[in-house]
Amino acid sequence: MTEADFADWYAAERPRVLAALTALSGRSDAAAEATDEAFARAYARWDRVARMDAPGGWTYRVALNVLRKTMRRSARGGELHAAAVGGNGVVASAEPADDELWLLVRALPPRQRTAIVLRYVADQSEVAIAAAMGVRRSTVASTLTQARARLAEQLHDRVTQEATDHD
Amino acid sequence: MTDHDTDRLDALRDASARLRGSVAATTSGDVDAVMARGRNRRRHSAVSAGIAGMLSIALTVSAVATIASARHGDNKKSPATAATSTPSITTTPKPIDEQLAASLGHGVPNGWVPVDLGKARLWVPPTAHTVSFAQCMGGPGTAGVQIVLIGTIAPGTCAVSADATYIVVGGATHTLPRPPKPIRTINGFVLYLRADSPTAISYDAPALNVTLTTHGESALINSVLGTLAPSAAAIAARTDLPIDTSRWRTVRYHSIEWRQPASWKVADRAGTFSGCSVEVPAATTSIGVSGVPARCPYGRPPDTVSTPVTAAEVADGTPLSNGAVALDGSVAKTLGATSITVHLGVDGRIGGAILRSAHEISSRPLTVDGCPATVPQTPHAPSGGASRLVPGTPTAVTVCRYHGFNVPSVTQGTLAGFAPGNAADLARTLNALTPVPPGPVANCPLDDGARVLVRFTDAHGGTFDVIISLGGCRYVTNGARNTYSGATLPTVLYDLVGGDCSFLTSQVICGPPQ
Repeated sequence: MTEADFADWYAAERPRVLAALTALSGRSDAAAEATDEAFARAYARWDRVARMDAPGGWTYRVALNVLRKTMRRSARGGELHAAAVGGNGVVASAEPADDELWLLVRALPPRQRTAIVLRYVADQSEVAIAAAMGVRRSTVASTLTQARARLAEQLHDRVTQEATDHD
Repeated sequence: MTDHDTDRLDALRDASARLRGSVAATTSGDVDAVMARGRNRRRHSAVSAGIAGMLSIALTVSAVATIASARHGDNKKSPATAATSTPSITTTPKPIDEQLAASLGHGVPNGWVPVDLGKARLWVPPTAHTVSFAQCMGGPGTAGVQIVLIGTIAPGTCAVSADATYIVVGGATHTLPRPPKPIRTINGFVLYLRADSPTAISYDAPALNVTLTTHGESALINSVLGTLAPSAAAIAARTDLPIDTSRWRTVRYHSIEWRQPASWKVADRAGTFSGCSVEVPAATTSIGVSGVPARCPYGRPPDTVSTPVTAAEVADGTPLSNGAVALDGSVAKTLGATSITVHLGVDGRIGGAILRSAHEISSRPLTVDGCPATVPQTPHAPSGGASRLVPGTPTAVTVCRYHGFNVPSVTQGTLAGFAPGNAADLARTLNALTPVPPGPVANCPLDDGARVLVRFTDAHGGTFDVIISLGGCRYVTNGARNTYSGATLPTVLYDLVGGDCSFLTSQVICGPPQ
């Protein structure tokens, strides 16, 4: 496993990790910092990480932990956790309408939220998601099912509300 | 899930794809910077496990989280860099007398106070706060770990921020192999690097059996670390350190006898209510029951010793200027049914010498060199004593207090306390008292027999006594002249030798005579 291998892996994986963390946190700055820290840690032990069954899962797990601590520290410092409440989070979405969708995602319970983002934004397999979340694959599957149902329900409510508002 | 639901989740897939594309377009990342960061982390990884282990023992979970977060966002200079370049740290082992000097705080900034843990001592600024890990976390496995917090941190709290300056002093566990070469030598004690990270450094000091983990502002940390020395307990255990005990005073209590500095007071707490009402000042040997006080009129904290009446405690009398910094290292010696506990202060030689001097004797009431074992009924009048309670210019004075008959479990007239005093001040106070007019002796029904004997030494080495009644009419006499004790004298005496509580009624009254 060479540095070139790491560079290739980094180039391929980083956008997905960063996108996932951005979607989860609503904070592109915190997401970028957590992403780079996770990849730096992966590089520090690249000989081991590269041989893992799901190196992406390991990286997501580290990144999620770093992000969680960063957000907790921000909240302690009086900086409102934008990801939890909507608010002033800077979401690097291409379409303004996406902001509302990510707000709904971030309103999901933590485990469902993480599973949904890793599945759809990071495009990870259930095995990788299980590694990232530290749970069994079956748990990932059931969590995703619950999350999809809940999100679909919320999206339906949102559409219904918008229709009512227009009427 | 309906088709509509599937459509809505398709919207999620589309939005995710747009988000990935947006992220990829706006930032490609800097792989070189990430790899450099990873190399730096790898360099420290060999020892970071050690620091994490140490901190997991010594700090709260939140503190560990703070350290971890600080690693990510903190670009401060490593304390190691400054620490190893500071000229105040010597690299030459010092002889034992210099280790003693370090223990006594020679050369440390004024106002700094010692913190002991086991064999080790650090001197810290008076603003530092010391908390034990047990205070923060409790539970097993936490004993023997101190967190020395240096900075503006609320006393009694365990929370530390990322920019806090602190030292964790822990009992060395030596779970990691020690590096072959010492990294520093402080006051003769070799330190080995145990762990190093960008924000914390951990040292082993095997000769003192401690591990020191430092975090934060390097100049202050380095100053504190440079005071590393043997604790009072370590000094007390040594018999080869010089201390002059030739002028010490012998004290006997029940079945134990010991010697202590002549300037120290002695207070028998058997006459106090649950052992609390005598406000035992520094440099006092307090003797008697140690129990949980029901009422402590002067705020004396509860004792934690629960030994029977034959317990003796000795405080070496060096007051600590910062109540939050407590010295650990009281040492007890049991002799038959009696134990003596020495609370080691700044100078461990004193406590060590006291303990070594303690030995068993035939059981007897408290006696102290310089005080009669029981109070005399009438003093022998000194020359010139008819016109002044204290004639001439005495050179020294000792004050001895004796129990009255209302104190349970003690014999009236036995010694209750001792203190050296200021001869000139006491002479002036006594000579200012109002004489009792000639005539019939007044009836003094509330006199319980409690007395204070003030023994003056004159310029020729002779002695004469003044006796003060603490109850009843509170007469004062030198055998030739009688006065009232007035308003000031009882308080002066109480400050010196304390007093018994009144057990006459169901209401226990403690404090200086009113």
